[in-house]
Amino acid sequence: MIALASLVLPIGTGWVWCRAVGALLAERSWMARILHAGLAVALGFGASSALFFLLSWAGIASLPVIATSEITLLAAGAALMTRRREADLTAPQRLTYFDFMLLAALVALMCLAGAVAARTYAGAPHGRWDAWAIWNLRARYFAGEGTWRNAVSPLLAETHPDYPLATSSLIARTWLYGGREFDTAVPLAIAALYALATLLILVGAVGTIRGPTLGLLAGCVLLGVGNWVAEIGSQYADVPLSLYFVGAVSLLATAIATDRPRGAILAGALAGLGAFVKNEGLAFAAVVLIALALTAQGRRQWPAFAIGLAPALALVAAFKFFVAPSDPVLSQGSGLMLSKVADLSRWSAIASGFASRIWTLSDWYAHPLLLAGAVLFFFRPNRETRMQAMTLWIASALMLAAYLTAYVITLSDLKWQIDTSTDRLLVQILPAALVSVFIAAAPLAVQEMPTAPKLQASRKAGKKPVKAGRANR
Amino acid sequence: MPNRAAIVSTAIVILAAAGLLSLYQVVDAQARQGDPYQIDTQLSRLQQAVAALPPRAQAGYVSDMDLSTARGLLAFNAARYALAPRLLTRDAMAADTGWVLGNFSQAVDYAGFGAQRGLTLAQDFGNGVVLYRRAGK
Repeated sequence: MIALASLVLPIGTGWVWCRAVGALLAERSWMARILHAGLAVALGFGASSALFFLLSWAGIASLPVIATSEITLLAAGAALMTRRREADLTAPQRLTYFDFMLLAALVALMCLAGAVAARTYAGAPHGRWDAWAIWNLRARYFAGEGTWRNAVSPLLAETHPDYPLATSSLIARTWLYGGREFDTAVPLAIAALYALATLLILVGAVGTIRGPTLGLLAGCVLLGVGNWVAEIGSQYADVPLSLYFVGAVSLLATAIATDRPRGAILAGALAGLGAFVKNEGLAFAAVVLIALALTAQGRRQWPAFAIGLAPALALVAAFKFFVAPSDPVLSQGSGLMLSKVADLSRWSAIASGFASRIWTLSDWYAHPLLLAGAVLFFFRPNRETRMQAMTLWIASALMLAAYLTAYVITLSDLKWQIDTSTDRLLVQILPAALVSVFIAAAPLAVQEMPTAPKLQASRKAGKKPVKAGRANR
Repeated sequence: MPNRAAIVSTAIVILAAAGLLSLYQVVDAQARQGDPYQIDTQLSRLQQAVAALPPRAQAGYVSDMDLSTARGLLAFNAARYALAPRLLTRDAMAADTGWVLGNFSQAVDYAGFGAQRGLTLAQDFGNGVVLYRRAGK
């Protein structure tokens, strides 16, 4: 119980630092608060896992030192937050009756997703294969007294000791608060919080930029995706990575929509922290930098994104160069890699594998392509929304290309690799891709929204309709 | 007359709920079959051997189950998880402390099995779990 309660510290730290760096407008709307809550988990968990890793590396990761460091970080953020004067608040925003209905539906779907995670846990309390054989195993090494280096031992060859450590580090830190009992509820709770934060960011970001209706619908579409929901109870690191992807993309979307570069700083920080979750995070950081450089709107955010990215990237670089064993993929030699790239049969197998796995992301009737397609059909994009989403589309497409390339040069048997991991790659990118789709959707004009007494009154008075997205800025 | 936002929203909520219910049925069926990896069973089976090892020990691994098979790999990885934070290595000779875990699917002559590999039987915990010491350690 103490272990789980200790998670309030990093979440609180994330909350105050989001505001301290000025990445978010002072919120007065529901959607902005939801976004802030999700970002607090992402930033707080990322910072806490990085801190625990650094303290372990320094050989001083005892509970008093960890607790003191975390409390200091929280207090410093709170002090900075209170000194920051917030001039521009988000517009006060009331949810309509219809939005409340949608919110209730979303909460009901969340309960169902929670039931799925709980049943998965009941069937496999230590998680599915990769969870107990990689992430939770390495968390046990991290949490032991003087044994953290076992988590990166070359003797763990088949357990990927070169993989980044964020989730293992956070679980170990929380076990330490609970007296090193290796309680299986801790990895599950952390997995659930990662997932909840992903959902909140998706809903909050789309809701802030395009209005609550589209934000809440985006959340419903995500919860309908069976593979994403199933991964929560499996305790893999792909849902946590999806949190950092969606966090970075959402903040970039907000920064582009409001032309507020401070949001891009935090976006960079989250992208960097994603690289500390899984290796794919490094590719993501690179493709976002490229995507930003390719559009005029993106170029304005590029420097801020790079500034935010730098510290976390330095941490990952330090881990890769000084702590982790070398990545076996990189040690296969450029000649072999080039011959794989030139082998068209590999590309063909990968393309067909991806296509089939995209199809099986969820039951066909709840498939995100179908549901998001329906949203785009009814909330048809206009020129402005398409332009705002352009950078995000490019980033999503480049990330897909990066995945394909990684498969081409994989050391493992290609068919096995496709069969066992494509699902998880799609889980990683799905929430961020949904943000890019929903940002492209144009919110309905007010008179087209479902019945809301106040809006009906204004309609009768003949007031000019206002686009919900603009009203929120 | 319901407008298009209401129609599309209602449809999405219903379809997402149907997807989740379908997933719940699958997960529920899996849960009824129990943990496919039997991790808790391995944790209790290996408990005494774990307690006999020093907290920071490294241990090697020998088994009658081939590590190139799914069964052998599962047994090894489950043992590695059970021993953590102690480090279990695939190779009996790689561990630097001289401890070697024997993990067997059936009763064999444990002492003879170890002797063939230069290992001395230190303790038999029953249920196919033994600890060896490597010669010279």
